[in-house]
Amino acid sequence: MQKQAQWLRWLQGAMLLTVGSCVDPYRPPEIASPNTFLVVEGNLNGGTGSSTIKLSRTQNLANANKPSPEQKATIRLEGTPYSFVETTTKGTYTLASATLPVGSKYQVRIKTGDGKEYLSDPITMKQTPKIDSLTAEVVGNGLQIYVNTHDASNKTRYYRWEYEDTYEFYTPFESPLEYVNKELIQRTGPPINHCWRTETSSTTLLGSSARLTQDILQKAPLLYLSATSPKLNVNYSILVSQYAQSAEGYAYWENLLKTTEQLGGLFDPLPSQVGGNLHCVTNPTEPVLGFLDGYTTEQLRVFIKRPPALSRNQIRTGYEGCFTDTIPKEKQPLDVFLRPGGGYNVIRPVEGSSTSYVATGVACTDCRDRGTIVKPSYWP
Amino acid sequence: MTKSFPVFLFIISLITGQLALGQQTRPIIVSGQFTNAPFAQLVQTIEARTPYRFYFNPADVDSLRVTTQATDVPLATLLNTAFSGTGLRYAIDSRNRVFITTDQAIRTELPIGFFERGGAPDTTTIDYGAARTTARLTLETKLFEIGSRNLAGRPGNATLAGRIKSTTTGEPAVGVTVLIEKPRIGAVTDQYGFYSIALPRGRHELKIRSLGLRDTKRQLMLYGDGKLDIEMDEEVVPLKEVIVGAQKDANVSSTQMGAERLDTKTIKQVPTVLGEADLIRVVMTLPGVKSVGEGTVGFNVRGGSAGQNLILFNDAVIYNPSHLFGFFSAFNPDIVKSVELYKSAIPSRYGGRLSSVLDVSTRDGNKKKLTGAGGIGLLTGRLTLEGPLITDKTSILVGVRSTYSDWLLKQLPGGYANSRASFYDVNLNLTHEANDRNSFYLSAYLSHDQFKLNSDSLYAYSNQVAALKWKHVYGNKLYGVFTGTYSRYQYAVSSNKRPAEAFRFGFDIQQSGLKADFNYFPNTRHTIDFGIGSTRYDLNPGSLRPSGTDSRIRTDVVPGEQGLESAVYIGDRFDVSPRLSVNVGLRYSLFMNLGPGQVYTYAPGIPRAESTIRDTLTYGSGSLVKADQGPEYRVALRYAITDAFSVKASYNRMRQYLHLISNSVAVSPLDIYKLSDTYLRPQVGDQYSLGLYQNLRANTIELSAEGYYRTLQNQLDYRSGATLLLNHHLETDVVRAEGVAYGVELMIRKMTGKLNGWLSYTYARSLLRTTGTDGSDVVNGGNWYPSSYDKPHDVTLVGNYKINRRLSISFNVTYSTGRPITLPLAKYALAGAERVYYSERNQYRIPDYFRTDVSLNIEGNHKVRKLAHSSWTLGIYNLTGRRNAYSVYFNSVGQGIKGYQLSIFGQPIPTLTYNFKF
Repeated sequence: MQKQAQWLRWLQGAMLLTVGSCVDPYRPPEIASPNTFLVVEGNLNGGTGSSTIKLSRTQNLANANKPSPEQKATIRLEGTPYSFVETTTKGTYTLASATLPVGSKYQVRIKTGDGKEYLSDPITMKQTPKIDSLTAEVVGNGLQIYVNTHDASNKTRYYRWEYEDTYEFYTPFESPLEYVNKELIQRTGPPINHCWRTETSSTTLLGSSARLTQDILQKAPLLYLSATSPKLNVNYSILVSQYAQSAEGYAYWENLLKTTEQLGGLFDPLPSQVGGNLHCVTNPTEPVLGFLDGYTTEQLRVFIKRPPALSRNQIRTGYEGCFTDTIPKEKQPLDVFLRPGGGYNVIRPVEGSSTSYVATGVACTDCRDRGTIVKPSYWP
Repeated sequence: MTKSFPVFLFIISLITGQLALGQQTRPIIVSGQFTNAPFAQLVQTIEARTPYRFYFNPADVDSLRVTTQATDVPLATLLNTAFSGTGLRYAIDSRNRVFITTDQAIRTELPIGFFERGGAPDTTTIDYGAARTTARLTLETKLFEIGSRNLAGRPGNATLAGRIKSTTTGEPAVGVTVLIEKPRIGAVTDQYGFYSIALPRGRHELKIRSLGLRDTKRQLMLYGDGKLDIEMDEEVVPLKEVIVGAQKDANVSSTQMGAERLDTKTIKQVPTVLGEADLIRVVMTLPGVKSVGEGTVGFNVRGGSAGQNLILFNDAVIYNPSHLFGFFSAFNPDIVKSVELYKSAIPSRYGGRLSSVLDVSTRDGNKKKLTGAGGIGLLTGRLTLEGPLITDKTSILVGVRSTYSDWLLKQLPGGYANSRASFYDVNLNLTHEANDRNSFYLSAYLSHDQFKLNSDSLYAYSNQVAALKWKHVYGNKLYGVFTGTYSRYQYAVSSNKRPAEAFRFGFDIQQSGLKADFNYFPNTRHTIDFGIGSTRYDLNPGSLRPSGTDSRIRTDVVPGEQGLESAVYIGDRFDVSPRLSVNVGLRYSLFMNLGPGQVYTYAPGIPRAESTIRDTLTYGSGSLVKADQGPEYRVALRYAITDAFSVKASYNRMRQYLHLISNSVAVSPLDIYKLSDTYLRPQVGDQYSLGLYQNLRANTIELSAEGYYRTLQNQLDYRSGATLLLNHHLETDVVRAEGVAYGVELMIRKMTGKLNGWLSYTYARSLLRTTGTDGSDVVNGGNWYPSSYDKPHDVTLVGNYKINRRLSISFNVTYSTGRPITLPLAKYALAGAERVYYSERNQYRIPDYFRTDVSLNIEGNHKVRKLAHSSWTLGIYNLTGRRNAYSVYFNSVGQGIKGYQLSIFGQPIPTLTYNFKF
């Protein structure tokens, strides 16, 4: 998009040479008319364990609101007594207690509140092989994390991963004093300068052994941590979930991956439609977005230490902008700095003074804006 | 030695000598019948009855015997017949004295302007015109004897060949028809002005006709093979009258169909944006040719992609025919002689692209005197100089064109201060006629473009082209042209904005070729051309390199590609009867993709992807990676139902080994080329076409209707989200498709008269269907879908009206259906990211296109001899101010995505250009 914007700007500039070009809103009826196609996201969980399906609606391009969840739908597995139940999170439906054995086939039938019915293609439950290992190695100025797996029965072939990574960090300053009722008192409770931050994968991670004679994936890349990343500072852990995809599901995700950020400009690649495996029964021409696959889930968690090859002095913690200041100042009483929204936390009193304090920005002493102070249960 | 006693019998049936004496202005006519009479007898007879008195050396005429019948003819006619086949010449002066000489007629008056030399320079045009007329008429009545007189009386044919040139510049005249009426035999001059025509021996009146040149004729006595060079006057400024060519009937009579020839005059008449004549833009007004978009010079011919056009500039390939991002064509209008566009029935000498051939030829330069031309428009200036190095033998032509507009960008409000955009191009042509049999032509072309947007990336591209030709005439029936060409196209994008990310991305393609083309004229009914040629390609498909020492960009170079394309061809135009002629041709092309190179192998049975690469095959330098070959058939026939109505049909097959990889619809500087290889198969196209041609009102109005049906194999389309730049395995991002294109083109054209121009309507479809079976290889569910350049309806009106000799109005009206587009229909959230839901590919269209342009051409005064001729062109582009959508795009605004249409010339744009010629 950046590049396109340049081209267009240039074109406009070139035309201003003479008289000037014009940009008009483009709202053909196809775009302006309300588009509320059903979006289905989720999977059937093989074996025992709960399956989750989220339903939502597409929106017009110009719509700035959050996608609206699709409530009050019924989701059933065709030919079984199993049906999903809407949870307290709107538009999210779960199937808690069901056993969906590997190898069996299911069709998901969705009936929405407006009476329309949707049916998925038959979904074959696949057995996801175990993750053999998660490895890391220094590549360039950073650390590349890989996943290794194999399926001795050569049945899986198509893999998808999601990860959740957590890192531990500290703020550069501590604030032992708390400003309560216009008084500075000793801070109580757990320290607020020591946190854990958890992030989930935002890109679609795919791997395939289709080209190989054996169903073995070695060193499939998951993510790359730059040496400057604050993640590899104190301690770092990653939990990887592995899913065995069908060939169709794999193609779907691959396609989706490629067309995510493109927006039909002249110099952008031609986009195309990303289909799914669901169809509207009541109106066959109505598109349904999303792909439902069925598989068991395999997970593996590892902790990764910063390798010595990556020098520590290049870490950018995100706290580089923190500095200390002396408060209060002339015509600015202490309250201006320390009241809620004042933006400052006290580090210590200025030596030999009872009214002046060394202070810094709240974020430089309180890490709760970036993570949680609750130590995860799996943390050593 | 038996010498029959001369028997003569003459009857003077009627003599009007007395009347002739009384009225000097009336021609004296004579009559007489002579059978094997001595010349002296004839003299005696005529002198007895007319005021003519003969002066001759009796020794010159003692062997001449006269056999002729004359009734009421001028003396000249009688003498022409009497002397035909002899070396005798005559001249008649104003006092009715007849001088008989051998070999050369004496001049009975002083040359025109003899007494005016050194006189007033501002000779009036009337004198000049009269002088030219006299000179022309002299040539037209003079009898030219071809071949040895010893062959007189033999039956059969003889071949006449020669060159036709312009009197004023000495440059060859192209596309001139040379013909005799009875029997009707004709030939057309080629790009060197060369013609060859086989005629029955004997007396002929040879007619020479051309658009833009004054028709002329020659009196011939053809004994045997021989040479006749002809100079033709140009219709410089039609001051006194417009000579309407009697039979401008090429439309009906030529076997060629689906071809258009445009000369500079036509090109310069059509109003264009920014005021400069632009030949590609004029080509785009022709039926069957569609513009990719406003402000681009990419064009689509009969439903083919922009990469399927072979653009030749003096036989060398031009890869990017545009300047300033398409606002100017790469060809300097003062250099161009003519443009030929072939849409169907493509002659067998051309190959390598599926859809069309655009053959641009430049002028040779004036061989008589130094002249120049130029112009200044709103953005560009241009200057051309030409003249003889050796008069009548060697000429040089140099043309330069450049923008002077960089400062204009800087004047703009709104932050274009750091932007710059500029281009220049240089042409150099050298022509040397060593002798009658050998001519040499050197042409070189260089263009360079660059533009930079504020402090962002700098884009630059350039074409470098050279061609050297040697034309050798083996005889009247055979000549050959040996050509070496070199073309290079390169572009680069560089950015130094952030030193850590400073980079330079480059692409280049070069090709060098050698070929030999021969034209053979065995007899009246056959015209054969044949040849052989080979072209070597070297591509650097893309390289990304760090720029500067601080850059952390990783060097990424896609390995180079090499290929050799060779072809042999033969074609024959066979005139089966005066009504039916057939053109048959066969071209056989062979393409070899050569090492060094690497080829990935993929797991069978599943779509090719990076994840399915199995193995890498490495090929050494010069080794064969993949060869493809095949015949290309070319057949065309014409049947003339009447002299003014004909039917033509053609079939041709083309093969293309070089692919333009571009998934935007325009030819943008960031497109790349790719050679056929193990995975990218050669494109093959077949075209069937049928046309009806009718000329009305003495051939001044041409009506034509052509229909065509094309099938295209191995077309390229792209997978969703294909990466094209720096892709080491492009085969994973393209999908193979087949195409069909069909349409009807209707045209009415009037090329002469006060009002001239054409109106055309085209209905055309261009559809694609993927041939793959697996998920990502299939687009739109494997159904037919419109290609990106499918524009069903197109109406174009191009006209020029001469108000008077100095003022003319040109206009251009065009309408076409909007091009297909894939629309984002909705947005949704899935797997933690916002996604956009697109329609099926090319299921919607941008708004229709409509535009009207008008321009007024004001010529300076028409004195022929003055320092410089100048003209002004005042124009308004997009008179109605319609906001035609050039591009439709979508941008994220806040949380929403909004659609915009960009109109480049969204309001009337005035232009002003000053042109001069000296």
